[in-house]
Amino acid sequence: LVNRTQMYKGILEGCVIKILSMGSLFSQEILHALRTYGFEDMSEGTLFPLLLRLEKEGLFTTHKVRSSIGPDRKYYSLNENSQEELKRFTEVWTDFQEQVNRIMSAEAAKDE
Amino acid sequence: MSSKKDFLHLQKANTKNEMTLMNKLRKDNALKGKSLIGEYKNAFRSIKKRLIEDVQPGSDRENALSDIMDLLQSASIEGKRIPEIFPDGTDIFCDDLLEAMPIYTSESKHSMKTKKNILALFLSFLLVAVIASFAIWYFGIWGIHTKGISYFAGNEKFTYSGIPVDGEFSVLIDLSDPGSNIGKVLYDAEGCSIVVSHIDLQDVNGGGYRIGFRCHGKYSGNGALLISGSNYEAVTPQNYIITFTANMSAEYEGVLYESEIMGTDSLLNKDGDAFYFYIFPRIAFKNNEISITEKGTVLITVSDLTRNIWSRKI
Repeated sequence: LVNRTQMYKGILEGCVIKILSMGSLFSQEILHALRTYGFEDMSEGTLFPLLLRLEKEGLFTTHKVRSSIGPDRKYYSLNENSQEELKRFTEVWTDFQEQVNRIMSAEAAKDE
Repeated sequence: MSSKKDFLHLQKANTKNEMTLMNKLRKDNALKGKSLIGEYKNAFRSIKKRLIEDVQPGSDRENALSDIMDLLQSASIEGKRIPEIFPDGTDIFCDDLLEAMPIYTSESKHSMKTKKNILALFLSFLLVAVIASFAIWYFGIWGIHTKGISYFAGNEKFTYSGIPVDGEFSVLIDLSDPGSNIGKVLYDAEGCSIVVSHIDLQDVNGGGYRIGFRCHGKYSGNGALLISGSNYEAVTPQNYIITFTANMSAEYEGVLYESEIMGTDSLLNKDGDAFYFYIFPRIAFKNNEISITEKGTVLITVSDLTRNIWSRKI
């Protein structure tokens, strides 16, 4: 439970899809966005397998763009599948969040 | 029927396209891999090793490797250290990665291991065969095996020396029973021997009593030794001259006769040669000192033998 990396796995997938709903991004931009939103301990080593997994599940379309300062950049974009997935994730996450919040609030009240 | 054919054709084309794509990816990856240095290169190596061990070959694996290389290249340019990129280590990274990759089943891993073992065994056999062939060629093992001592004579890979053998060597020959003399030993030392191998009787015009000696030498990959009635001096590569060196005398009923040379077999036998003499000179028959009906014992003495030595050049 305390292993944040394990806890993040499912949630992160939803977050990455959500971030990409704003437009095509390459991995460094996704990482930057995640860190900006507070996932400060996110690393390339955690994000890369996640992106690969989602890509293999057919949730992304990708294309490469030449970069003047390094290797080609692989851009990730959402497709119909990921739009559906995002919808499902939003529903599940909202329910989950409410349930967790209810438990936490009730238990906090008891403690007081 | 035709749709099945079309399907097979399409499948074949897809497989071909997949192979072409995979080969291109491999080539690109090999090129890209060269640009990685230091810790990035080491990290890539350990990830690649794990992927090759656990993931089935194909474009999925090559694409992942290509993307990982891009990731490491970017990190290298930005000056990010490996522990920043893989805070949990490359092993955990690979564990995560494998969840999205076509990994080997235990059966396919076992089958691959078996195939690898068979290939390794085949390659080992091939290597042994190549080394053995080289050794056979280099050391002339085949030539020695098939030709024996004649392989060394005139062979430029070997030095030759023909040294006169000191002393005289004798054997008693019973003329009443020529066949009984076969096998009598004239010389036996250093693993070499000379034995009576032939004795017959011709008419006077044919030279009368004739005797032959078979010389047995010894040889190995490093050279040969033959005590013989002939000298095998090398003249040019692959050529040698045979010089008959032996002399023979026959002492019969108190008279000493100088035997006449009849000839030599050269190196027709793998382990040596042979040489022949007329026991009594023709003049002895002419002078009626000797007839072709002699029944006594003759003491044959051979001298001026040659020690033929061939040694591998260093």
